[in-house]
Formats: sequence, structure tokens, C-alpha cells
Amino acid sequence: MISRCENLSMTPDHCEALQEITNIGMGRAAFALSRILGTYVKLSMPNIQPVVPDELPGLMTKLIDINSDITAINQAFFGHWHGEAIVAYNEHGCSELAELMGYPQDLNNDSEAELFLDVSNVLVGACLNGIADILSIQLSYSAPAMLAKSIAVKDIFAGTHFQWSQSLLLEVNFGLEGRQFKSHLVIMFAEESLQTLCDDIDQFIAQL
Amino acid sequence: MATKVLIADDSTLSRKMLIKALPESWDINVCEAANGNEALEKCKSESIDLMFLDLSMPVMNGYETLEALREQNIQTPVIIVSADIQTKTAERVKSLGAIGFLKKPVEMSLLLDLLKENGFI
Repeated sequence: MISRCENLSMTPDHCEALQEITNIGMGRAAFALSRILGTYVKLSMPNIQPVVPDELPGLMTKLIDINSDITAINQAFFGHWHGEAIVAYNEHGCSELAELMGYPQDLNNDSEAELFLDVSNVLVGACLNGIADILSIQLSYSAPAMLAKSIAVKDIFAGTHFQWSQSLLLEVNFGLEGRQFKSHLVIMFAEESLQTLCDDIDQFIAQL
Repeated sequence: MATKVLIADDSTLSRKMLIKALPESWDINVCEAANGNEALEKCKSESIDLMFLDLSMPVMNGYETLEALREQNIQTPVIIVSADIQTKTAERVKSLGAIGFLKKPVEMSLLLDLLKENGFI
């Protein structure tokens, strides 16, 4: 697993614990996706690292190793922590999702967007709820929304002015056996939630 | 005589979580490994009665460890403990010789059932 948490006020114990907890959340997301699609989902190792706004486009390009244009969905989470989740799909994403879910291949734009939104909602909810369950906290979610369609990864945040100075970014990705489908789930914790997250991890570790 | 249990997982947190889930009344001696290679060496050098094995580990992952155990004819019973909870994963590890599959975080009641089924308690 890759961890570069040293720039935040997180200890190595926090990072190691968060990696393992994210791993469990990712496993639940993969399970949910495999149930929807009826096929085996290949999992990655979670990436966890701090990020500042200026570095975000470059970091996203590095993490989301998709050379083609992508479609991205975003969904906010709030409650005990808050932040934003982004799910990015490669160009094969829609056609393969549609095929596996029994949709017609010639989906119109609305149906295609609905498909991406539904699957993203499942991935984000399963992963974040998995993390939240382990740390015994509750989260709520906004409706997922289309962030970008058919654009380069580096342009996802073009023109966005961020209100934060640093964030913690978690990234996991999913592939499908025998398919070209690839999806990346990126979770960014709001700056003001980082201390709460560390406190939650401390509390969890103390119980063991 | 205490049962010798090996927990192989690269995550210290996961190892602690599993140790906490083990039945308190079970007379055991727990040892730990941080990857499959370490686990394999322990199985060769010590008499391990039961191994709990993670799938996703550096150096040698859980699948490779199961294959190595089989190739080297090491008969240590293995229970897989994994965050990858897909049905195909459980089927695959059982085909490689695992006697059980538990999802992370381990539920004590399921662990207890599995230990009873396999005659460990």
C-alpha cells in the first residue's frame, strides 16, 4: 500500500489503520459492484496521501492511469466527516456496464448518465459506509452528479477554486476480469474533518 | 497443550482485530507474520496448528502462499481472512485448499462456528 501521510498531522499508526480500514471499504464496494454486474471485480491496493489544491490535477492524472478521456461523477458526504467522492470511468465504462446490466448498447445521453450515477452511488456508499461502520460513525450523502463527461483527467478540476488548503485523498480502483472497464474511486476528506478522522482512528485502535 | 495459531497479515491493525476476535477460552499460542513468505517459513520451522491468512500482502500474497503450501506439501490448515468478500474469491481459495473463508472485520460468531466445524474448539 502507498502512504504519504507525513505532511498531515497523522501518525504512521493513523495511516496504517486508515489503509486497512479503506481496504475493507473497498472490498465492500467491489462486492456491491460484483453483485450488480454479475462478474468478478479486480481490486487494487488503496492509495492514501495528502494533497494541496495546486497538486490535485497532477495527482489525479498520476493516480487515474487512464489514457483515454474519462467520465467523472461526484458525490458529497457529510455528517460526522465531510468531503467529496469522485468516481472516474474509462471510455469502455459505459458500454461494458450497459452490456453487463442488460441495457441496450445504444443508450441515449440521459440513460447513460443515469447508469453512471447509479453505479457511482453504489460504489461510494458501499466504500464510505464500510469505513464508517468500522469507526462506528454515520455519514449522509448528496445525490451523485455528473462532474465531467469525456474529458482528460487533468481537466476534471479546470476552473475550480478550492476552499481548502490541504486534504487527505484516498484512491482505490476496480477492473473487471476479461474486460477493459476501469473505474477509480477517489475520496477527499475536507480539511476540517482530518482531526476528527484521526480522533476516530485513535478511539478505534484504543479498543483493540 | 496450547494450539499454535499463526496470523499472517501485513496490517498490524488487522492482526490485532483478529486476535481480539479469537475466543478468550481457547488455549492458544499466537505467532504473527507480515507476509506469505514469513508465514511459509514459520510453517516449515514450527508446528503450526492453524493459520489465518490475508490475501492481499506484499512479498507473497495469500493466493501464492496457498499454492506454495500445496506445492511443498505442507498440511497446515488455513482460514482465509480477507476484505475481498466476493463469492469467486471464497471459491478460489477453497479450491486452493483453504478450509474456511472469513470476511474482514471478522465476526466472532462466524469465527466460532468455523473453529467448531473444523474441530479446533
